Amino acid sequence: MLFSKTPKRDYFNPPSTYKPWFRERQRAAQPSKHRLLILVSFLCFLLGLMVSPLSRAESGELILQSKDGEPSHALLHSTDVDLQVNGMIAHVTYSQKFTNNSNEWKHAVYTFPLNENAAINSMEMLIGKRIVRGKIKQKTEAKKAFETAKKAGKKASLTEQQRPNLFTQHVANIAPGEDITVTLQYIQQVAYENGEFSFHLPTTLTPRYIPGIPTKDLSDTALVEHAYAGDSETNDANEERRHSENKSERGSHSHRHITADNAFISGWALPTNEVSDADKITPFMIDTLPQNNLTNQLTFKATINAGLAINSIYSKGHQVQWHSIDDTKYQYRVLLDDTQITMDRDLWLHWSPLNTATPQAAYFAENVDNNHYALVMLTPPQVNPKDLQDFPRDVTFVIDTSGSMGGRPIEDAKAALKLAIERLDTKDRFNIVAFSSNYTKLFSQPTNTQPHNINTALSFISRLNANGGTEMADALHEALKAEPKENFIKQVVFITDGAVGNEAALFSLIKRELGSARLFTVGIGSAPNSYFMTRAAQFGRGSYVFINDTNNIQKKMQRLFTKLESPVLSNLSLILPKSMRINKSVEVFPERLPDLYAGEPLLINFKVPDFASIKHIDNVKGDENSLDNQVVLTGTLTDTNGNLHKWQRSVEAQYLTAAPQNNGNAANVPFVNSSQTTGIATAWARKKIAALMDEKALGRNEEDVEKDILKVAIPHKLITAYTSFVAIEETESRPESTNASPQHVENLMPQGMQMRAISYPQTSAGINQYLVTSALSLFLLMLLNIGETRCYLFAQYRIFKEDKGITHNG
Amino acid sequence: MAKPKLLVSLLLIVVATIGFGNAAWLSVKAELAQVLIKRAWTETLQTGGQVRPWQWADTWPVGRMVHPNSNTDLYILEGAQGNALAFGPGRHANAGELGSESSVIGGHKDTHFAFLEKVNVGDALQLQTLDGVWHPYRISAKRIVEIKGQNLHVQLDQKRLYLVTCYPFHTIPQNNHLRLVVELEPS
Repeated sequence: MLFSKTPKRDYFNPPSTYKPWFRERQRAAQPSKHRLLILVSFLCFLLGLMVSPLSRAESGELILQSKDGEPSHALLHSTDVDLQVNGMIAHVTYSQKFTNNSNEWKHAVYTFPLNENAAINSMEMLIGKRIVRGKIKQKTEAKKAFETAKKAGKKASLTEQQRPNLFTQHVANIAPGEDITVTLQYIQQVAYENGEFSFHLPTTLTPRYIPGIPTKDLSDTALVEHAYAGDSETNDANEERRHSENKSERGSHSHRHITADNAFISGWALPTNEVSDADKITPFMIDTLPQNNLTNQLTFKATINAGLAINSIYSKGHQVQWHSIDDTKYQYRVLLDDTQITMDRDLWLHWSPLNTATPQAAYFAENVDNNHYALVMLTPPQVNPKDLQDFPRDVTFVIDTSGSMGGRPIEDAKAALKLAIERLDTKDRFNIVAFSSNYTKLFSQPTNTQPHNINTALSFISRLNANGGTEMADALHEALKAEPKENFIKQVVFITDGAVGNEAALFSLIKRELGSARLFTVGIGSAPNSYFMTRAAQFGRGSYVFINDTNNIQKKMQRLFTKLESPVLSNLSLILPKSMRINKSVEVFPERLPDLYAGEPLLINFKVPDFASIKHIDNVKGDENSLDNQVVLTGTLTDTNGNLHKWQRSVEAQYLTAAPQNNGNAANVPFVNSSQTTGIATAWARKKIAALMDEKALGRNEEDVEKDILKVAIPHKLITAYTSFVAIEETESRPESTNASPQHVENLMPQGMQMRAISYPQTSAGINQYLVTSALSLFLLMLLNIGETRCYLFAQYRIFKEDKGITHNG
Repeated sequence: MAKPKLLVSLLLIVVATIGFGNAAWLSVKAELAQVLIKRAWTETLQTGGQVRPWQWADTWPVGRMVHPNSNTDLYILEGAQGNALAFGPGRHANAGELGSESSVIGGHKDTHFAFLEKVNVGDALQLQTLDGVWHPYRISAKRIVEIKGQNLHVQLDQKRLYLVTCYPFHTIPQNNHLRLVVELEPS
């Protein structure tokens, strides 16, 4: 209808359609000349908008990182380590230097590893020549003080513990081009095994697997990430409260302190129901590439005062030089061949005394505030394993084939496992459990070591490859639950990099299901989670070895075999000197003596409070009980005929009755007869905290544990899960008008791992942009010709009406 | 006097036409190409070689993925650059092989990967590789990342799938520095 009419109208009255157009123009043209100009320029802008995506599309839409204009390393980081070894105690000065390489103010966030025994007891911040000393505070308090200072534009630093071997360093308000150095001091007990001392310094971490279901949904993440992407200063209190409510609803598993620091997600993983602090233990990683060698560099030097003559000092994986220091006895200086090393693998320093000087026992003591602290080392007698009764063994090998093992680690793990399988005795039984996201068992039951079984096992091993998650719990459960045959000793050998976030849950599983079995861990890779390795072995009443280099698999596995094959020294008992025994409040760690394996010494830390009064009693009694002035370790051995043999080792207690000697002349004191050794009290406190954290892992109420830990950590100034160091400069340095953005310091991927960095693709076709441009121009068109539009629409409407009328009439 | 206004009006009409035209063309291209790619994929499965969906195409299908919850069925092209992404989601050439290694697939938020807005953790997704085998995956995580100075790190020898698209979904500017990364694990 409509169409049939319209052309007719055009024929009848052609000029009338154009008339309004002209009339309108005449009326509106004069006053709207400038309006037109504006419209034209707007049009140009719209055209520009249209053209830009087109030209971009031609050049390909993949935008590479380097072309973004943002330098990839806005923050450079380097670490300097100065190690001072005094007997069994290592004093480490650990300085992290952050250099702001951008022209904006930055807040640095760096998640870094240390050895699991490190006891950080001092922190200071160095800005130019100014030194700001850190204070130990409760974690929440420290965080609050730091955030306040950060907002106010003050320079501040905060060191927090996430795991006993993983810490986070925050530095606020680093000016463009500025350096800020944070120096930590820590004490670490040196390891001693098979007549060799060793010091372990991790420099990076293997990305941890986070089991469980994310507890934050995406909308939360988006909000948090936006805060991170834009200005981090907006730390909406409401948002936080909501987070904390969510957390508390989720109940028992969540940490109570997690809420305070949700300002932005600091890692690549989201908190899950099993690992509620997942984002804090998963720092961002970068590949070790030549262009990344500006950052994550380590300088290292060491002075070793072993108190005895040293035969050799070496480091697997790094080249070192050493020489004795002139005019001193038993003091040695160690330097790395390279002035700087890349922080992509753990540094291990080993030193062994001359054979004649191998220590059998040692007593190190420190008196602090009327309390006596001691570290005692006792080595059990060396016996030939052949002289001892041995039992057939039932060994389950558990091998981690998760993605984080990819590359060299899985090859090392397979090589180690093959060695172990080939070495099994004819009367032994064995099985293999391989796991990643799921586990597979080689045999349904432990099987004898007939050649065909061994061959099946070897071909099973060679088929293993690394991929998937690290669901340890099920595999461990499977390995531990199998009952051993009568008279068989059950052993579980766990080969892994320990890259998991749920350590505590696994410890409690090991403790719960261990039964009579023994768990041994074999740490694989350039940066294994040594906290997991050592502590799992402790809960599993076994031992551990680390394979950090393909070249020493054979040697390290040999050490493990010795432990596996020689009977354990159990039934140990320790007798303290009478003067200490009568004091009921003596605290000894470990509380329960562990089983000792071949080549391992027993290390005990203890504290005798109110020592002055005890000494007094001691003095009154005089010399008569000097025989009772010994720390004695006794135990039994069973020979091949089944006869029991008693043995004992002892060391004389050093009461340090003379005024504490701090003259630094310790070099001349024989190893065993040491004087005041600084750091023994700190080492004891660290052991006590570790014992309390173990209690928590085994299910003790967290609030009680926290209270107990605070009682130790605050007086000893130690960083723990509940205490942090915070240093704040008094003056405000960042002008209020400028903003600072947070910046992660990435860790390097451990050497030998397979990983690839993928640049993000450009993933928007720009349809919205086109639509909006078109809609805008249509709108403008209507606006410009508003008169005509109205007339036209009105005319159309009239025609329509008329047509309707006609139809009705007709 | 009549000219400027007429000119501006005409230009506005042109702009509107081009704009709508482009938007339509992008959507149509995205949809139509999938039909052609589907044919190429069928042929790929039979012959096993690289089959270009049309003669002058600089990409070819390397996989197919199905997300049943949103009725999505997409053919994956080789390369996550503009030329491929216009026609379908693209496999990032630097990342691993589909199905066996960690692979990264990029897609436009406003065409093929618009469905990612609605996916949930735990959703199943099937991926078909060149050998015709279907690999079941499950969404294990969704996260939003800031891409300034950041790369996506993948562990090559892990069997993971990462779907990457722009975020947020309904914004006008084409360039932004947030991405939605949907991580899938084999189920």
